[in-house]
Amino acid sequence: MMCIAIPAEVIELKEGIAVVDFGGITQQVNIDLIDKVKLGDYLLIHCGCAIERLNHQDAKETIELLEEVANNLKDGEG
Amino acid sequence: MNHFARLNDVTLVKDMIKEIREFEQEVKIMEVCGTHTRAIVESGIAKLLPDNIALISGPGCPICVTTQDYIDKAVELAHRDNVIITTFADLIKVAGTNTSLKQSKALGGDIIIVSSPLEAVKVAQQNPNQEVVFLAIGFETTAPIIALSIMKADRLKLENYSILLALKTMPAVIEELILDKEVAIDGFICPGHVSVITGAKEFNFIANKYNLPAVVAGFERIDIIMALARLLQMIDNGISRVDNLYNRVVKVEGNLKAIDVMNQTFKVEDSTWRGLGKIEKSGLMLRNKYRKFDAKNKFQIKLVYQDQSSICSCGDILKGKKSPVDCDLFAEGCTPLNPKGPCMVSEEGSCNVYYEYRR
Repeated sequence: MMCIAIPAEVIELKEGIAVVDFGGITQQVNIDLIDKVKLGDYLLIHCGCAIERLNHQDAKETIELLEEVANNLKDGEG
Repeated sequence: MNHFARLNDVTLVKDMIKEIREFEQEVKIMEVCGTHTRAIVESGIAKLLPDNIALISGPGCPICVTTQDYIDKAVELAHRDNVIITTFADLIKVAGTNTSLKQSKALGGDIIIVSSPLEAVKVAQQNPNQEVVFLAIGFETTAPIIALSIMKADRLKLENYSILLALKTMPAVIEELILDKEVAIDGFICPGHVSVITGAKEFNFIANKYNLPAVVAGFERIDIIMALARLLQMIDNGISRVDNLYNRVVKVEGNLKAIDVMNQTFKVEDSTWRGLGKIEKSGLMLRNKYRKFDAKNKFQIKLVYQDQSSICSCGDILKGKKSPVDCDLFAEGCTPLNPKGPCMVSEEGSCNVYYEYRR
């Protein structure tokens, strides 16, 4: 699956590498593309490499976006 | 409160589903990315839509747009004495002119499946007396990781690692589809994980240059419902804008580190897409300082694309002109176990997805 990217939690840090947990399955991933990775970070993993960091604040923003789109529907606005 | 868990809560989008189902205008929306196609069909969203909303699968499946001559050269290399081919699993099933890498492996071709180009570099380290070639296909999502593999091989001074490069980029092919009057798309769902790298800004041209609405969307069910609702709102109100609805991972500017790694390694060139032909500035080539890692140079290979028109309709399906079920071969001569065209091979290919869920 070529453009699949899956979030996983960082459970261990080694030099230039993180061990991440995909809800039970762990894997070593390259973290060269992400600044200052910390334990407990959620990273988006593609082809053995972290390509972005997620955080709860961002997930909250998605929920807010949802509410905004839903409100627009009701109001009939763009 | 766990906001990630709430992203699976479909009750959040109940009203949106109702509005989508009551939308009356005839519209054509393209989901560019094959992973979106799979998510749309797998989640049952495709079946929720009224007939007047047509969702069309786009060319965003890297396996599907890989040309026959590329596969042919990979097969040829796999049979050379001192060459090991390393590749993503999906690609081995795609037929070249005569054969696939899978058949070639059965006949003794030296082919190793890897899940990352960085693994291919390890294979090269472990086999110093053999040439290790990685089949470098994919879009902007994968390109920075392939770039990292080149940089790593360079740091390690590996002389036996190279890539057979056919990386492609999204904007030019989307532009080509917009300009094709037969396709006539009313709005785009832009590829979410390409956007993680490039930033949502990469797709602003859809609105700024062509006055069409677009959204950058995630892959959860509620992401897709939200994307459709927002697109329909924009279409209904005559608004052309590119909205980033996947901002939990997609930034406006993208992943700057990844973009930098990509730019240091590659430059833009024309590229040939299976079924679509040559598209200007839609591919990547290695910069001069990394040319020694180019398998085309190393093995004196020239890719010569010939459009092998057959009864397979993958070309028209990739452009959204035909649905998989319109192809004469669909589910008859062409199935995931015995694929005739690349759209049936990859799990992101629209024929493969349709076969699994819609037959």
